[in-house]
Amino acid sequence: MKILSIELENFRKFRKPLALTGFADGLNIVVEPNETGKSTLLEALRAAFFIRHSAKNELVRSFCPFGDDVAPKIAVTFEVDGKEWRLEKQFLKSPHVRLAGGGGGQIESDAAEDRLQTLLGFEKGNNRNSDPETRGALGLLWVEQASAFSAEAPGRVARDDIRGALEAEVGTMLGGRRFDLVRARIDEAYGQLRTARSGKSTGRLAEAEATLGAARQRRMAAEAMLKEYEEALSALETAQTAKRLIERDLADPEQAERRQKLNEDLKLAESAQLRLSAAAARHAESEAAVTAAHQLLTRINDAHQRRSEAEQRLEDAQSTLAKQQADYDAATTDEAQKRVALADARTVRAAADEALQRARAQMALNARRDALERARARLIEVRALESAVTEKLRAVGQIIAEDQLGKLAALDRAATEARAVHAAGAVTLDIELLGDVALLMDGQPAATGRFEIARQTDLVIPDTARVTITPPMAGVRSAEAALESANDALAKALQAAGADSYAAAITRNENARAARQEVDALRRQIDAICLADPTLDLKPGAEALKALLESDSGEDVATGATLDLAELETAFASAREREEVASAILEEVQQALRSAETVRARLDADCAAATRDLVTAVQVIEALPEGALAETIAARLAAENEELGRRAEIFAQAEATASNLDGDRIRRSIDNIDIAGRQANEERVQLIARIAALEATIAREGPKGPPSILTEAVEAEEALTAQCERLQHEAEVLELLRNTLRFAGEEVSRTFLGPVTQRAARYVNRILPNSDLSFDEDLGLKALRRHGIDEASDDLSRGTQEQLAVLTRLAFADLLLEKGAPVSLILDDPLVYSDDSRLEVMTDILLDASKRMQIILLTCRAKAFRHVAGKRITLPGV
Amino acid sequence: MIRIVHTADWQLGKPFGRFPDDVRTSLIEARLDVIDTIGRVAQEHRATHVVVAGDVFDNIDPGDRIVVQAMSRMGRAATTWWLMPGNHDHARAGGLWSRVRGKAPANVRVVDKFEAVELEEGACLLPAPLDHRRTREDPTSYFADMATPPGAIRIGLAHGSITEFGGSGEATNIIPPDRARTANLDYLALGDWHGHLPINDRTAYSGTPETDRFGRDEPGSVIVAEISAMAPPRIDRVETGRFRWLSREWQVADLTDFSRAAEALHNEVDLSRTLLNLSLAGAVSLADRVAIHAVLADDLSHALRWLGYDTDTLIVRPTADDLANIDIQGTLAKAAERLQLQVAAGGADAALASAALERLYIEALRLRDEQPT
Repeated sequence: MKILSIELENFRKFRKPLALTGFADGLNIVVEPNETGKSTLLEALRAAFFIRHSAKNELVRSFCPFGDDVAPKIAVTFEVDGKEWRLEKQFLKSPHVRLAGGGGGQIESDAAEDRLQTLLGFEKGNNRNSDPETRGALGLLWVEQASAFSAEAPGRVARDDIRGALEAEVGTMLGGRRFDLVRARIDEAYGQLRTARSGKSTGRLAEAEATLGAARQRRMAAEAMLKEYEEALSALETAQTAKRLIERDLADPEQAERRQKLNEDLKLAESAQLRLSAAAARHAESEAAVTAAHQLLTRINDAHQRRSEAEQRLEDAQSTLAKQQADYDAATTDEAQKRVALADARTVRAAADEALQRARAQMALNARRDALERARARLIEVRALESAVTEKLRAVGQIIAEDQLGKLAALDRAATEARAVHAAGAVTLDIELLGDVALLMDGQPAATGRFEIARQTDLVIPDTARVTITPPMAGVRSAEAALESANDALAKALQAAGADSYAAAITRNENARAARQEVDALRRQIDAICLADPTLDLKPGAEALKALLESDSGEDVATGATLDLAELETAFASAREREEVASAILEEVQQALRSAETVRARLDADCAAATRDLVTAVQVIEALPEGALAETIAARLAAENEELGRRAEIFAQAEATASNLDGDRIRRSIDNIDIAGRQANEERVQLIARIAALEATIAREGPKGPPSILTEAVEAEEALTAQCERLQHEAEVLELLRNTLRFAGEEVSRTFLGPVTQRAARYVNRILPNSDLSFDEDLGLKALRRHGIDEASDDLSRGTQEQLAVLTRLAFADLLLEKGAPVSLILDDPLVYSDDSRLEVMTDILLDASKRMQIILLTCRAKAFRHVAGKRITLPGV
Repeated sequence: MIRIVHTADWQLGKPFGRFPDDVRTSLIEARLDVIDTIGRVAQEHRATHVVVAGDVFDNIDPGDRIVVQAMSRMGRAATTWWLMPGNHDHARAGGLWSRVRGKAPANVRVVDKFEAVELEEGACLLPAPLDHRRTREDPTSYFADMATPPGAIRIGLAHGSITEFGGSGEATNIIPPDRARTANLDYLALGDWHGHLPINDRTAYSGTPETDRFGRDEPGSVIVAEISAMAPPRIDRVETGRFRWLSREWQVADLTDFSRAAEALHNEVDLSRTLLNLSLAGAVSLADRVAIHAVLADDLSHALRWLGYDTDTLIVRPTADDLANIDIQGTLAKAAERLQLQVAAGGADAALASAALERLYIEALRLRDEQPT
């Protein structure tokens, strides 16, 4: 199909006639700014083809320009299957339609509308908003601005066309209608049991479940009722048993007999009690008599016993005392002797002591005398040593000072040097005297030795010879003078120092030093001699010694003969021992004496006590009643005892009788019987009331048949449970079947829609590589499958949605075109949300498609489509 | 010689709650009606006493309607009824039996004490009634000590299991099988076992007069016993039951097998007086299964007094025709194929898938019937 021209008059904003011509075969682009009437153009085309000329609804009225009362007119020239047609339609005022061409004549009115429908493959709409279901392929392919956004499913007629095309390509989709019917049936059946959406119980199943719930309630109520009823039965049984037992007890004849017997016993018990009291009195009386007799007899016997015992004791004590006297006397004598012995021993010891003291004093005097003598001898020694010290100190005092000694040394060296100078001019003369010979040198005897002869010297051996020696004369004289002066200086210095020669001076100094050491030694010696002596009360040191002896007259201390002190001491010790022995013996003897005295005192006391007891016993015996002889009393006691025995027996019998018949116990038993009887009667009355109540309950409930009701309720519940389960099972079966049908439907439609899917995929892959489209049964786009993941079409971006909408329409158009259906694609302001690259791909696709069909593109975006080759059409006069 | 009717286990007032209301009513009425039948049997056999060995009523307190109905039916029979409590209707102070006594006509006696009673001169009845305390011990142990006039016929009446067929291990009121001999009884009339069962020459279970459950195919009956002091009693079984309770398992390979079995049943019993518990087994085509179901639901279940059937073990083997009937190709065929695969896979969902397939088949058939192509 191809649009060739469009003419408008009085249509919406186009009041004046407008003719749009020159639509070409391929791509036509109408580029105009907004509000210039592009969309009105599409609206007019739709009105011309799809809205019946006679329609007067709101939509049709809206065709009229605002505020005008005119007749909107549209004329379209188009080509179908190579034949040209012209359609003229006028609305509202003298509405009419005229269709001419196609090789035939001109037809009008309804015949024209019908022809148009047949020609272009659409159905009569209800004219209310022009039902899109009926508009066929053109309705799908003439895409309005608003619906371009979504890939809506094609309308029914278009769908049928496409299905027809698909069947031509894939083969008939067999049983499609049967499938729909079965599916509807199953859905309906399922809907009677469970809701389609949430699967909740509804209809019959909900009803059955509710009935089951009610049945369960009834069963529980019946259970409770039966339980209550059975409890009443049990309680009744218990009460009846209790009542029977009580009545049996109440009617028990043994109980009455027992009470009677107890009454009799009570009387017996009371009389037994009386008898017991009498017997007890008589028994007590007899007991008292026996006790009295027994006591008297005891008293008599005791008194006699005590007297004889006292006599015996006195006798014993006296004889012991007599025996003890001798011992006592001996002890007294012994003590006196021993006391004398001790006194003697003491005298001897005192004498020995005195002798010893005397001897000791003598010995002390002798010791002092000896010490004094020793001190005197030591003093003499000390004085000798002190004078030696004084001597040595003199030598010490001759010591020459060091500087003076240095001067002497220098002078001596000068003298020696001068002598050497003199000797050089002198002759050395060695003399050795051989035997007893007199040799005179210059008149003086010469001794053996060497001599330096500086002058003429004569040696004369008397009587024998003279020898004159004359030394050489040069320089001897000055040397001799120097020697003399040196010798003079030396001599003067020696004289000042008090020494003969330098060597002597040295010797003297050494001697002085030695003397000093000796002084120290002597002083130490003195100290060693002057020791302390306690005998003389002498301190150490020479001064103490000298002081002691200063006043010493030198006379000897008077002294006695030397005594034997050891002997005296031995004598004293033995005297002492003897004294000690005597003292010990005395002490022991005195101890014995004291013991004897004690014994004696005790014996005296024994005698006194025995005497006193004896007196007392005699007094007691005398105080006894007259005639109270032991024999008489004993006989009386025997008789009394016999009587007591008899009475005790009677008393015991009475006691046994009385204890067997305990009046209190019997009275308590009688009371208990009476109380139990009253209690039982009371209980019986209560039980009777209870039994009556329970019987009433049972009589009321029993006839209703509680167990039957329960069994019935249980069985009804079971039946309803089974029914519920059956319905649930049915619902499950239906659910499974439903799902299976849906799945099979989808699978089949996938196969069936293959041609559409494949065509669409070819386009889609150019904008979305590796993707695939799926359609639902109504041919609506269901999902985009990208990289194996399904994305619902609603979840895609608006741009992608719009692009897919255009592409799927293109795919449908291709399919219809191949079938030979009249196809024309009009896109109103498409690809608004496309980015540049997508837009380019999309325009390429459209350009490609325009080789197969006419495409009219209405847009306000001149720039966006500038690159697209196609026929440009402008609205004239806008 | 004395002739008595021995019966037991009437279980009057059994509610049959699992059955639809009309069936329930019939079953309940049949139990009451059988009293009239027993009355007639007694009259026909000139038996002047009917002894009921326990479980006259289904429970310890059936409603008054049941009690009154039972009493009025017994009242119009020309025989004396001796009713003894059993384990279902055990004696309880103030309970059921007080009510029964209160409503009993002159020819109805309740024997709820361990005391011998004279049926007529020279014949004594020794009852062993059960009360709610004594439901586990042997109630017949008292028989030996029950004195009867010299030369009198001694007839024991007891309710409980015989030692030999306890089996379940929880049997109560176990009665030794030689009790008739040890207690010197001429006849021991027993109740509790719902089928007719002679134990020895002097001991027998009468069974229930009107069957009340599946598992026992024979109709209900009573015993007419002719008892003398000299010889063992003569025991005759007399049928009294109205309904038969049959359990059947039919092995079928196709609809023909099934029809044959149904035909055989038709010839064997009076369907209107039969309750059938039917279990079908085998493997059949979808068409046959649907057809069998149709016969069961639309035909047999109406012909029978009641029909309960279990077709879980009747496996479906869909044939090519079955599947063609759903659809040769297209979506329905695809759905059928899919379900078949699920059935073949077995497992928990196989049964569900099989049912779904059957349903699909039915719907497809219905569609074909409604809109022939």
